[in-house]
Amino acid sequence: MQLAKIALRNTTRQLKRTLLLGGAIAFGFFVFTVLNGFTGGLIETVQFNFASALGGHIYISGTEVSELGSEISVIGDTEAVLGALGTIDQLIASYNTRSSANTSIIFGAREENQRLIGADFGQEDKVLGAMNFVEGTPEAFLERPDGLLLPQDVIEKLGLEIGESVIVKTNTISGQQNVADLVVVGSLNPQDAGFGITLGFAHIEALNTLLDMEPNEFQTLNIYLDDLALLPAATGTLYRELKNVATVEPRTGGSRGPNFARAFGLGRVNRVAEDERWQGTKFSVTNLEDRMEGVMSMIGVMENISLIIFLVILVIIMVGVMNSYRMVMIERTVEIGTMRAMGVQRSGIRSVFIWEAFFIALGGALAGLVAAFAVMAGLELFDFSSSSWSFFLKQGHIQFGVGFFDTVVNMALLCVMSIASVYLPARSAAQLRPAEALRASF
Amino acid sequence: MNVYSIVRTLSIVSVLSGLGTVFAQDFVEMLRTIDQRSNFAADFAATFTMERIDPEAGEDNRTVQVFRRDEDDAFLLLIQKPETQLGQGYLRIEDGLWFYDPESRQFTFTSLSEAFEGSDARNDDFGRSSLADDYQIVETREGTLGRFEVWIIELEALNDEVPYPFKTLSITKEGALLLKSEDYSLTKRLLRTSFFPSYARVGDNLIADQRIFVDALVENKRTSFTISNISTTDLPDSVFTKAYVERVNR
Repeated sequence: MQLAKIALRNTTRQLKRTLLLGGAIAFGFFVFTVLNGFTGGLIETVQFNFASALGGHIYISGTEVSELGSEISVIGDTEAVLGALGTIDQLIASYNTRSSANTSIIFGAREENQRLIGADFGQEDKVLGAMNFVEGTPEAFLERPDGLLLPQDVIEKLGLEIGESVIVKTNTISGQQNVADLVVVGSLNPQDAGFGITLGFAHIEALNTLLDMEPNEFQTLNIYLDDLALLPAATGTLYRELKNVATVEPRTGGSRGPNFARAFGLGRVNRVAEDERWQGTKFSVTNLEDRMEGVMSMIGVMENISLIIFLVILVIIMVGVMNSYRMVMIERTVEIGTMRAMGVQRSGIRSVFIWEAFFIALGGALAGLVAAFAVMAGLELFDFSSSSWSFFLKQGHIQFGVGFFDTVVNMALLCVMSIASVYLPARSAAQLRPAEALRASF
Repeated sequence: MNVYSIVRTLSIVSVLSGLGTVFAQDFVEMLRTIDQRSNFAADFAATFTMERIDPEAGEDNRTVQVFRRDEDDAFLLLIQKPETQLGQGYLRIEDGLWFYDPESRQFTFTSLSEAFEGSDARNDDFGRSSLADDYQIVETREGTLGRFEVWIIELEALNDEVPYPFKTLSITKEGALLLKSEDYSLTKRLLRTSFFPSYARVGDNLIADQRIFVDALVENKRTSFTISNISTTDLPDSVFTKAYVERVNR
């Protein structure tokens, strides 16, 4: 312990050098922590945005074949899917049913394309409560069966006032043109309207009428789980249960293809070859992991880039530390000789150097961590709502996610690397002969 | 016979003669004639010049080269102008309608009921006509359109996959030319009115070489097409393939 105290005192003897070395280490750790925090936060944010936009963690969509052989996006066999939910009942936090459409909102001579989600807001009261209303209230929306919530920017482009009626035009599920008059009862902050995807909302009965669907039908059933760790198991159980009672598409996953489009309600009327047609509803079961596959690959690349940056910085720092301690060893040759003459063992000399490197690395890492937290906290305060990256933002703000365990491991790694880089100069110092060291003059 | 009886008799005769005229017409056959005249036994190619007037976006022009093979219910629309969209194409083949973007070099599936290039025309408007197969007649009456005496025929779709569930057609009594079509939504609201003021004779076919689509929902929005360079020369089979669309404007 005495050697550790000597090492700690030594760090203050050449304060400028210690600060430069520690500063370099702090900078490296700062960069790595911020980048890691950014990608960590990004995963959480995108997960949250996806789950909110799609209305759950597991998504069941369905298609049926029309008399003319077209594939239409609707779940007509509602009993089969609701029955299958019973098997994972204990894992479900809540579920909701939705319909959706790409619409044109027309007001006078103005027309705007708008994606509309039809939901049963009796089931989804939390979603309605979480929306950031610029004008109007959730209560006013619930009171009007023909009520419509639109993003504020769409309302401004159309020159609308709350309470005014608009024409909503879309294709029915079989591809026919249809229109309805809906009343705008509220405007939403564009960033909150779709959690990154700019959405409008209507009551599912109203949207079903527009889509030429029965009031009790829906296009997707979405499930929120209590524990996201059980997502693969719950999805598998649901898939197997549905397969016992209905036709189900094989689970291929992926963020491409028709299943992905259908979950967003972007499915189109496709022609089905005669030998491939089916009876009733064909279900498709996907989950948050499938949806996020593409995004996760991108985040994975970012994580790898930040790791490479960290390693490069680490190597530069290590070379700097090694060179500095070579200089230290030369400067302290006489001192080392004196210590050796007074009975300090070789291992003691080595330990002093190693402890010194450890303290500088630890101090630098802690300083870098504090700076990183300060910068991350500062960046989280900025509102980037007007940017086009809203899907990567949580209500307009960057989110950082720094894991405690990861941070401890990274600090340990930094300390070990610093110790490793100082080991050679420390060993050289320990191997100095006392008499020669005492004679040395630089 | 008093004056009242004479008037009543004349009225009944007049009404019956009118009804007789209506019933004498075979309106299904009339629709079939319109279909046959506008569908080609041979291949068809023409240049469509589109002029779109949008109160918000202003004026917009496109030149589109159209190739049709009605026998296979296939068509290809290749955008020639503006230069920025050169090479974009819509290919209708057996498995559906595909849009090709030369920048991404990818085909994406689209729908016949989608608006063509944000205009008031639907992709379906470029294909073969199938009024007699897709619609049933629910009501007919006489009327006038400008200086023309016309039959006004109300149609209801026989299936739920045609873009417009209801239509009202104005067809000249003489020559059975479709002059106007009012297209309605499922909720029976007028969505657009299409005018066909001019026809060109191509062999045994008659094709509307001017088409005006007026949006009934967005005030002052309309799209007109002028058709020129009509040809019925046989086209190579390769024209109606994805490979051709990829290659043609490379």
